[in-house]
Amino acid sequence: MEYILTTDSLAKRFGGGNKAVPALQGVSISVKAGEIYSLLGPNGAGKTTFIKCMLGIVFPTSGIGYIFGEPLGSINAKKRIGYLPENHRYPLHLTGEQVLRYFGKLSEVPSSLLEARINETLGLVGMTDWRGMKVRKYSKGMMQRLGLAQALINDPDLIILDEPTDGVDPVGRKEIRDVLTHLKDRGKTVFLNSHLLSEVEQISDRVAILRQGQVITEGTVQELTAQKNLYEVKIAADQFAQAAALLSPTTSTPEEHKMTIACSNIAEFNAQLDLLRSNNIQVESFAEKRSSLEDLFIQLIGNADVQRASVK
Amino acid sequence: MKQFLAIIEETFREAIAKKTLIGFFIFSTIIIVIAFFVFQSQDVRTAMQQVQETSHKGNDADMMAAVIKVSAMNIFYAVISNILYFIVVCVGIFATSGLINSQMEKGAIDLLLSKPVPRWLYIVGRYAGGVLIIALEASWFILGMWVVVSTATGMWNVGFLLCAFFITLGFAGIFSIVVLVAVLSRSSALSIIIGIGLFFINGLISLGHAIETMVATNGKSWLTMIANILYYVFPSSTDMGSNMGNLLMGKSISWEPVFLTITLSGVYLYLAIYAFSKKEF
Repeated sequence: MEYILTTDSLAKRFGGGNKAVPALQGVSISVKAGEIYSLLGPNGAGKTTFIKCMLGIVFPTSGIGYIFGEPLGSINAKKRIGYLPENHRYPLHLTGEQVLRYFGKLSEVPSSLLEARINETLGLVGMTDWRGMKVRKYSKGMMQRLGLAQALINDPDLIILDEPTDGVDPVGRKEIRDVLTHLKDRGKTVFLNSHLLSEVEQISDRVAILRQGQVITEGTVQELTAQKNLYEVKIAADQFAQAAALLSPTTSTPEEHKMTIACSNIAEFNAQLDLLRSNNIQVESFAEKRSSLEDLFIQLIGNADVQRASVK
Repeated sequence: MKQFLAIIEETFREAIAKKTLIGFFIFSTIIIVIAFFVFQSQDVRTAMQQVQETSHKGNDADMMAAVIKVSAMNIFYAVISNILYFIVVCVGIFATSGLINSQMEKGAIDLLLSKPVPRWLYIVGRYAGGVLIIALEASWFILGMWVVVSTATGMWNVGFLLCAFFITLGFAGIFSIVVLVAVLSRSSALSIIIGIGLFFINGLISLGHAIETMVATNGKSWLTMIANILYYVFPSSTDMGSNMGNLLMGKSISWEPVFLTITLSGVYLYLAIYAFSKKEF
């Protein structure tokens, strides 16, 4: 699998001496071509600083990184990147269409393709009807849509989005999610920063959680949300009590006929299933138990806070 | 080149949106119209007619009087050009200083720096856009005044048109420092204060330099020495005014301040680019 973005021990400190603030502390991640990769973390974790390092807006104190084989911040790499910053601000005297034309020219979109790209991106984000309106009259949601169109104007291979659904209503968020999925289907790579964990969970292939400038966990959504050694089994309604007596579940929800059982390994779980079957109990479904990304996030960030407190 | 032109185009759009361009245009047009009515007044027309009639009589005394009056007209042109120079540079600094800071505002700069545009191009593009705006305004101002004054006096001093070049160059010198201050401080107010302040201080420096030159053989005071050093540190904006005077009076132009201003503008612009390339946002 081709990695289009890699960083190795990337660190960034703001200020110097005793007042130095470590924003990134040895961040090493790799993003594969064609995936949606999300970076999560509480406010001040260093997510935006990481993106700014990638784009050369701030300079790493140490460590290295490459995008499309080029050093971070290189002009050649930027030709293949589209970026939607958090709290972006466009020249208010321009119309939506003029904004796209300006940034299209800066992105070196060929003149012959520019108008077609403007029409396509405005259509993609549902802003065609407001293309001639001054940006100063746009709502927050419209501004986000325009920002997304701007990020796509050069048909980039890597799209970096910092809180793309910030200020957007639920319908708009769904539309933006659909756009991102559509981009992935076209083979584009999406790097996403977001606070909205449920959204990230829905569309991301891989996730990293950043805390105090360090990656504290990374993996696919399935890997991260799987609860090891816990299995959820759904039993036929009339046999639920009998099954519960046999398995001693850790938790159960009789109204849904589900129970969670703890097994030290898959072999033990199979033995438990055999026990049910040997008693002619109908197993309707079973699966490794999963938590939500939000549960994991709160657990990890909370644990880290506890650890920090104990060190102090 | 396409990116460079896009930045200049956006600079013009911003200047139009901020009413800078139109405000300056209206202001200069009002001055031109006022000048037109002044020069069409009976007193001024009579005076101009006397100059022309005197120069056609042919006797030596009258010819001498005509020469003096023509010289007086050239002085008049020189005074007008210097007034215009003062107005254009001062108003120009107010009008253009915000153009640098607006692209460094939070939310805007992130977008710009994410594009495949070298950082230096943003500074050079904005600088060129600002200078072009002032060049257009100065040209309009000078052309309008030239037509008004020349129509009234019958003296079409083409040298007056060249004043637009000196005005633009003088502004470009000051503007390069304004750009540097804007990049370092990210403050439009400080840029304006330093720009305007420097324009006035420049006059004192030039005066000091002139005194130093005159008294060079008789020893130097520390004050004139400082003025002499500063003369080669800051763009010679005031000397552009002197050059306009020389041009209109038929005297030779001093090229030293011209080259000095061009060189120092380049140096200050380079420093601004260097500071911008190292800046984090």
